[in-house]
Amino acid sequence: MNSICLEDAGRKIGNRWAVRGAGFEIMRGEIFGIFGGAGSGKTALIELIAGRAVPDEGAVEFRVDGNQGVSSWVSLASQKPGLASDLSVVENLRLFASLWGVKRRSRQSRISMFIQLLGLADVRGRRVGELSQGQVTAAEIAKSLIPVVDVYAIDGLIERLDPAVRKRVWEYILSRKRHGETFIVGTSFGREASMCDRIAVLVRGSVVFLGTPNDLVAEMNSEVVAVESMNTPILKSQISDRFGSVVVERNGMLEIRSSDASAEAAEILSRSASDVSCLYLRCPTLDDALEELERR
Amino acid sequence: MSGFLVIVYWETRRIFRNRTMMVLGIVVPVALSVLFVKYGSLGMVYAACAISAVSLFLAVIRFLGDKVSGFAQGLSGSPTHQFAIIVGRTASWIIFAALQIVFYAVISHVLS
Repeated sequence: MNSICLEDAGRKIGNRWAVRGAGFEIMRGEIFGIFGGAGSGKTALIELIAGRAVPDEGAVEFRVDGNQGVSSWVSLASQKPGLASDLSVVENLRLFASLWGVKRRSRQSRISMFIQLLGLADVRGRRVGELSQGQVTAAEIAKSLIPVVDVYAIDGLIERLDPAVRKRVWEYILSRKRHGETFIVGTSFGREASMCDRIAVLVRGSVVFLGTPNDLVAEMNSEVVAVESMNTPILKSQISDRFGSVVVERNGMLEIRSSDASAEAAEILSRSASDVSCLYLRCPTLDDALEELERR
Repeated sequence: MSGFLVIVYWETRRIFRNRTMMVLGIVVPVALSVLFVKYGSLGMVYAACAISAVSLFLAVIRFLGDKVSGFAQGLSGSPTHQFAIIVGRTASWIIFAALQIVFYAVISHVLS
C-alpha cells in the first residue's frame, strides 16, 4: 500500500450526512490524525477508511505501485470494542490473531508483547466482561495491533489510556512508522493530534483543514491572553464590552484570542488591574484552533 | 477454511464459557429427560426438537447481543470471509445442541 486516497467520500447515517466531501491522501508510513469534536464525523470517516462502511458518494481507494503483494486490510480499534466478553483477554487476542492469520510461531510473542505494552499483564486471564472500562480500551487497542498489516486505525481510544500506557503506545506507533506502517488516529484532543504528521480537522462532517499540526496553529495567526481573576464574571463582562471579543472561560481562567495580544493585555491591565490576579500570554494550542474552526 | 475452523473452535468455547448457556445446557436436558423419559423413543424425538428450539432461541439472542456489543463488527472487520463467520458460528450452535441431545439421551437411558 502506497497511499489511501479519498475522493469526495461521504457517508450517510440515517438521513443525515455524517461526513461529506472528504478528499485527501494518506501516505504510507504516515501518522495521520482525524481531529474533531464530538459528533464531527470522525468515526464515520475512520470506518470508511477501514472498510467497515461503503461510501454513499465518492470513493476510498488503496493505491499500490507495482505488484508488492500487500493487503488493503485496515486493523481498527473501535470505540465500540469488538471483544468477546466471555473470553479472557489473552483468549480474545488468540482468537483475533488466528482470524488475522498471524503466523503461529510469532503469535505468542506478539500477544505477550502487546499485553505488556498495554499494561494488561495482571488481567490477561480475566474475562473481558469483568474488566474496567480503561482495561477494555487497552484490550481493544491490543487486539487491533495484533495483526500484521500495513494500516492501523485507532478511533478515539489512546486518550483514554493511563498516562504511562499512553506514552508507551505512542513510542510504539512512532517506532512502527519507521518501518513503513501507517497509523490513522481519530481524536478530539489536541494533545494526541499534535503527535500526528498530518491532521484532517473535521467540523460538522466536513474537512475544514488539512496539514501539519504546526500549520494549523500558525494559521490561527493569534495569541491567547489568559487572565485569572478573583471576580471572574465581572471581569468577563468588562472585557467583552470593551473589546467585543469572544471571551472563553476555561479552568477558572478567562481567555481572549487576539492578533495583537500584547496590546489587549496592556489594555486589560490599565483598565481592570485591581480585578486581575494573574495574566499571561501564550501561543494557541490545537484545542484552541479546533474551537476557532468550530466557531467559524 | 482455517477461518471457519477458528470461528467454530472459539464460538463453541465461548458458549461453554458462558454461565447462562451452561446452566441451560444442563438444566434443559435434565428437565426434558424427566418429562419425556416415560414416552420412550417418541419422547426422544420431542426432546431433541425442544432442545434444538431452545438452542436456536439462545443463538438468536446471542447473535443480536454480539451485534449490539460490537463483537460481530470485530469479527466482520477481519479478513475472514463473512460466509465462513456465519456458517462457523451456526455450526458451533449445532454442536452445542447436539451435545445437549447426547446428554439428554444418556440421562434418559439411565433413568429408564
